[in-house]
Amino acid sequence: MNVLLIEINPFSPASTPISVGYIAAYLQSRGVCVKILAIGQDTTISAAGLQAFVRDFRPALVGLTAYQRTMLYVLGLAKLIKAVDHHIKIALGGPQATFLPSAALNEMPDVDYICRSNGEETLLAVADAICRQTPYSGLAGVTLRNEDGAVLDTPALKGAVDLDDYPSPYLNDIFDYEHMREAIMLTSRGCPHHCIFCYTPHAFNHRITFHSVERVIEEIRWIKKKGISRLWFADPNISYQWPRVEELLDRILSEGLQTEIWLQTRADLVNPEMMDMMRRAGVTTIAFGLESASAKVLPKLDKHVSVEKVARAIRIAQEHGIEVELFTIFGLPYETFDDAMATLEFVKKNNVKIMGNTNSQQMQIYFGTHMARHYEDYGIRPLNSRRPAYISIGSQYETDFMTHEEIQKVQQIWRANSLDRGRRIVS
Amino acid sequence: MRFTAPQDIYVILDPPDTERLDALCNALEDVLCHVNLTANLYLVCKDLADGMPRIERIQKVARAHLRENRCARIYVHFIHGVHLEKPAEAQHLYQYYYQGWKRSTLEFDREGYAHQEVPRMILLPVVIPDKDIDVSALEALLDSLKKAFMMPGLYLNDDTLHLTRSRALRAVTEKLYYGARSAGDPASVVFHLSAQRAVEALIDRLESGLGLDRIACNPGVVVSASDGMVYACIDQFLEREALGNLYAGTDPERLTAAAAQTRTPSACLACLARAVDTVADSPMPKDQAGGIGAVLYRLGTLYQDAGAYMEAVMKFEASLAFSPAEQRHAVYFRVGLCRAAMGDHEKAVSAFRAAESAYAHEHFFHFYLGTCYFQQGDYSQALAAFQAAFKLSPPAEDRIRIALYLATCFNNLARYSEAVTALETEKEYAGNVKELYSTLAYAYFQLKNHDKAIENLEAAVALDPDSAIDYASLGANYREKGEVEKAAAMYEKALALDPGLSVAQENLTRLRKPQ
Repeated sequence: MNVLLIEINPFSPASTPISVGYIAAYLQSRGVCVKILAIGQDTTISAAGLQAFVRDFRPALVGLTAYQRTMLYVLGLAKLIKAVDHHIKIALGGPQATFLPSAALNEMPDVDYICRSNGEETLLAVADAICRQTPYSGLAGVTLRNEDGAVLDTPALKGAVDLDDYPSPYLNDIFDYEHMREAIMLTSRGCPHHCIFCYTPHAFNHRITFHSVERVIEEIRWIKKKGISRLWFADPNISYQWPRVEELLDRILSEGLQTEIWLQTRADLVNPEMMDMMRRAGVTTIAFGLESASAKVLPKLDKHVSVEKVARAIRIAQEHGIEVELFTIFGLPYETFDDAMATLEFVKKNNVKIMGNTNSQQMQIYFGTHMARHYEDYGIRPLNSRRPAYISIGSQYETDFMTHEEIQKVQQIWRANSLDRGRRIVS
Repeated sequence: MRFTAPQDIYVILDPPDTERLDALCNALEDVLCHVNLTANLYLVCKDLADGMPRIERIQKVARAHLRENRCARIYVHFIHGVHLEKPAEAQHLYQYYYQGWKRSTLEFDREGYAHQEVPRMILLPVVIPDKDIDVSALEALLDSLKKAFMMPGLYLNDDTLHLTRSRALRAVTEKLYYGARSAGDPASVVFHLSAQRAVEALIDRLESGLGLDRIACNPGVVVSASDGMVYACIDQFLEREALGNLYAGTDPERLTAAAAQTRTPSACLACLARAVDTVADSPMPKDQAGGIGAVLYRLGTLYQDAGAYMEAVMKFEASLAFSPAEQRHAVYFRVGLCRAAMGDHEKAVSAFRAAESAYAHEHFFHFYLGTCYFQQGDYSQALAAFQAAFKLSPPAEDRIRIALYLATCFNNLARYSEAVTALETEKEYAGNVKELYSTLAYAYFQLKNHDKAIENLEAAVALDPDSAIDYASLGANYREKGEVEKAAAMYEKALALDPGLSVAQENLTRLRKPQ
């Protein structure tokens, strides 16, 4: 059986589709033939070329990664694929799918499944069901239309507790290394915190699961052997367990695996000793989530990190010669225009370059976040009540504290201060 | 998996030919399916009034394509001439032409708003002002366009460059293009637009830290509406090598295949280089030419890596006009390397000297400078340069090369003792380098210390038993010591390895000649 996994984002260059890679490796280990297609701003593919590709590969199932900002294109792809062969089943996965309202399926006629649980097990179960020719029976972790066309939610499906149970996309040569500029790695998944604007903690039930250090080292060895000299650790909080990070960095150093590394973590999870090891292991950039530098706003986000702690973390990193990036958001609840400007001033004062990920962005209210469920309690006023069911409030809102125009003005001011015209890397 | 669909389509709509418009639109329906999911459609005509009806007709095709392909998006660039004599005319033009044009994209504006993304069809009018245009009228027109989210561009040439002096006009202009003196020829406009686009893509790559190690040109398909000819890329358009004729039924699928296959890397490099030269020569104000210097420099390095040193020098020298003072040293240094590789050592020295203040602390700079003097036979200057290189503690792999040149300079200046001193200490670092012993032996020979010379030459032949010249040198040293038989044996060995070694043959003949 053939399965095609597609990640499309026409707004930025194609990067290593790490999550899809995990699913591909898992399916492949269970005897499924899988291909991945990452379509980015720099991918040159035509509608006819895409259709020819689907016709040649003849997938029985196509998995599409969905983000809020790519929904239009994801649904466009679904339509294009169904036009090639309407028997091909389409499954939607990724951040937008996890908490998508079930009723949204009614507005997505070309989509057969919304995958809500862990991608590896869920998509394998769907593939097996299609293979058995009972595509809508005995499934878990998905929302689907049954034979009668009624939308059904199936029970959740549990993922592995030990991430090493999932085969490595790197060690199984899932990716095309020839055009890979950097390897994106996940040494852990999930986040135990409760930031009200964030999707990740809810998607992973506030749990965090890990790969063993041995497995990560094995992957780094392999990636380096393939000639890739830049690693991007996408873990939300890579330093969640200091002894684990210490062991990882120690192994990198002792085995001579130093390479250029980007990583992100919480500002309260770093110390000078760690920064020293990171620097020696090749970490060139570290990103912290500040969100807001307003002493009034930040505590209300349930992030439980103080502005002072962020300033201290920045200083430690900079003292060790590590470039700092700061994730910040504007349009937050309780945030006035002046509060938003205070965040910009904080970034400047701490000598963090306003470029790449430090370019601020408006808060996006995504499905599944605490904010999406309780937006009214935070004085958020959606601006478009007639959006499709598969699109959340996103950035179309104003607050009791800032009008839509003020929020736009904040964006313009950030852009005017940007060194790279506001290009973000992580969305 | 690699896909190579063209991203840009340039359609030259002049001269007006309404009869063929239907045929063109039918063909474009197919073409759009074979270009990139995100495509730029450049529609070029001389005049707004003539062009707009045809633009609207073509846009209908584009709209149908986007409705059918919801993962596709199109940027419609409408490049056209405009004449305005007074501000009131701007409002008339806007209402009569552009407003209706914009209205035709309403469905995509709504779709974009609902999905919180930019619309899948974006209108980008590019105005080619005539030289007598009223500046405030033009400003009013562009302002109206901008307010209606039709991000306006201006295509300027020598005659209209003065418009950039208007701050108000610049504020409402989203993008500036620069073209040839006469903007009346749509083919020339296409060439300049594509050149600027190619250069911007190169600059973008450089700014993203990607470098230009891969010449990845995304070719733009050119369609000539007047005769239906289709060209796979700008280079083929300029060469008039058409792929086929749309009106005669050329299969659009051939376009993508041809665009990917017809060009060789060297042709693409030459085409990109021409694009860069075109932009560099355009009337663009130098202070707005950010990035071009860097692109010219990178192109120079590509030519240099390919061994095309003259082309490399031309690119490097062209980049100097766009490079800030602090970056010029790197350019001069490269020029020096290329000139040296071409054997033009005099000019190489001049270039290196121009780079000196930024490179004086680099051992390799002095080394390259020294080799240029050396090749010119100026051993005193070469010696000074090599000594400077040596003082900068070069890494082990470079140290021995510098020491050998240094010693050879001493030898050539008859300062043999200094050559010996320079090389004896190097044995510790480079005991396995044959040339070290050969050069040292030469110095000892000149100092008439034949035992030391023989000792070093034996070390040389131990490292390279096939070195005929070292055996000949051994012969010379034994000869000087009066050990004729040994000398003859060494010359014979040298000749066995290299029968053409005349110095060995002559010495052997001389030795065997009855006294």
